[in-house]
This record gives sequence, structure tokens and C-alpha cells, in this order.
Amino acid sequence: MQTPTEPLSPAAHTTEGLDRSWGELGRPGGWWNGHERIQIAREVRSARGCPLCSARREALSPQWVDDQSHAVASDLSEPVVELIHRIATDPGRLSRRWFDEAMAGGMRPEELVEITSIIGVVTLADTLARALSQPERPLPGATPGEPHRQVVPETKTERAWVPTVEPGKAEGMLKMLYDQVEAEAGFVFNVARALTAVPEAVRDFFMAFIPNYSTHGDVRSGGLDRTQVELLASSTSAWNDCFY
Amino acid sequence: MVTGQAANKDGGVACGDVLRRYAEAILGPDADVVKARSECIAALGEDSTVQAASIVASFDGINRVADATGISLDPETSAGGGEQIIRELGYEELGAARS
Repeated sequence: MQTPTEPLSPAAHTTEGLDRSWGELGRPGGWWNGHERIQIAREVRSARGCPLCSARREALSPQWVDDQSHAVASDLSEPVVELIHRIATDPGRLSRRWFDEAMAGGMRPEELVEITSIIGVVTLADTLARALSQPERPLPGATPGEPHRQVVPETKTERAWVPTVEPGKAEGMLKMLYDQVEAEAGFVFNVARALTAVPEAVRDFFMAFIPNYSTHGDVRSGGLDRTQVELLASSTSAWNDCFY
Repeated sequence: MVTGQAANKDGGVACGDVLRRYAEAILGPDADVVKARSECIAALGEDSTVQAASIVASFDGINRVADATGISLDPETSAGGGEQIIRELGYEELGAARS
């Protein structure tokens, strides 16, 4: 038994998935190369200490604060840095208008989906590290290569701003994810569809997410009961002003 | 079990108050996460504290996925216990104050 103030280690079954997900950060994805993906991860971390993001979060509307610059930690373009910082630090006030403006600026929905997956993985890993007083994971090196830039067929834009694949149309990796979610939850919850326009984005985020989270079905023996899990999830969403 | 007893801000959940404080300490940049974690270990043990950390971290990640993609809420989720817990903890006011 450790003393209460010592760091705790994450559960082994959660570490494996996060390790694999983390390893993918530096590899070419669907729409960003390995170098760009690492730069995106770097910006997620920079956003937490960004004075502009902090001022915006305190303001009644983020648009009212525009007299400062972001704390930039990469060579990504200004619109991409802006998008990463907003998602990382003020997700609860993202709107359809924000999404439309990002797309009007020339970004593809698939590019946003992949960015979002990276933000999700880095946020999960760093929040877990803080919770257990562990050091943040060092970012992996970038692997050379180009993203495949293949548009997934059979997508619809019905349940989200971004295109998604319906479970009945899913194949390969996506079908495996949907089958796993349905087996555990009894139905395919919508957020499982959110990243399906980029199969690698789905794989990388849910490889980290699924072992760390369980509210549906049996919770691990001897662990938290379902209502305690629901309370933690609801408290986190409320803190983030997230409806989900 | 959700009982509707919100007087102790625990949402009617066993050790809910301790878990809520740990979640807020994890997410709050200036909070004393070590103190909140120690309290959680004392109430629930190390394994459950680690599990609580995993759940907060995973939801902190998936909140961004949901918000950035504009995914709609499932009827099954909105009918579940989450909204009730948010009401009982008084988090509706927190969200309104920030928006």
C-alpha cells in the first residue's frame, strides 16, 4: 500500500490501449502526416497555458477577446492552431457556426475529425497523468510518410456536423468498433459514430477510451458501481459544459 | 443507487461527494489533486480511485470529440441517470454561469 500522497499507477488493462494509441500519434494518419500529428498534440498541451485561451474562457463570448495571440508551439497554420486551441480549452461553446466557418476556411471535415481524435487521446492521457500525479507522456517521434487521404464511402451527415458511417454500412475496422460498442452498451451510442469518417481516428481514440471507461453492463468486480461511474462522467461533462 | 437525496451534494450516490471533489480537482487547473485523491483513497481504496481517474480522463477526452463533431445526443443517454445527477449536484447552474 502506498502512502496517499504518492503517485498511483494506472490499471494495467487501461495502459495497454493508451500505449498503442500513443504510439500511433507519430505515424501518418488519414489526412495528416506524422510530423503534423505530433505538432497537433504539441498544440493541445500548449493551449492549456495559453493566455488567449484563458482570457476567452473567462469571457462571456470567446469572440470578445481578440487582442492577444495564441501560445503557439508548432509550425501549423494559424487557422489550425486556432481550431486546436478552441477544441482543447473551450469545447462547450463550439457551435455549428464555428464548424461552418472552419470549413469555409478550407478545412475538410475529415481533417477536423482526425485533429479531434488526437486532441481526445492527448487530453485523456494528460488528464489521467494529472489525476494520478504521473508525469506527462513524452510525445513520440514522427514517422516519415504521407496520409492516405482516402474519403470513406457511404457517409451521411445526419447525426453530426461531420459525415459519419451508419453501423449497417460499416466494414472492417469500423464494423469491429460498432460490434464491440453494441456488445458492451446494447446499442451504438452516437459519439461512437463521431469519428467514423476517418477509420484511423476512430481506432486511435477508442483504443484509449474503451479500457478506461465503462458505464454500461457490468462494472469491474470490486470497483465503482454504475451510479458512481455515472456521477463521475456527468460531473466531468458538466465541468466541460458538454451536453454529452 | 440514485436516491434523490442531494443535501450532501453527493447526488444520492455512495461516496458521491468524495468522487465529485476528486473529479473537480482533476479538472481544475489550480486544485489540490493530491488532497482530493487521498480523500478518495481513504473512502474507496486505491483500485477504485484509479478507476475514478480513468473515467474522468476518458470523459474529458470524449467531451471534446462530442463537442467538436456536433454529434447529437442519443435518446437512450438522455433518458439515463446522467441528467438527474447533474440536476441533483447543481451543475446546471455551473454550466449557465460559465456560458
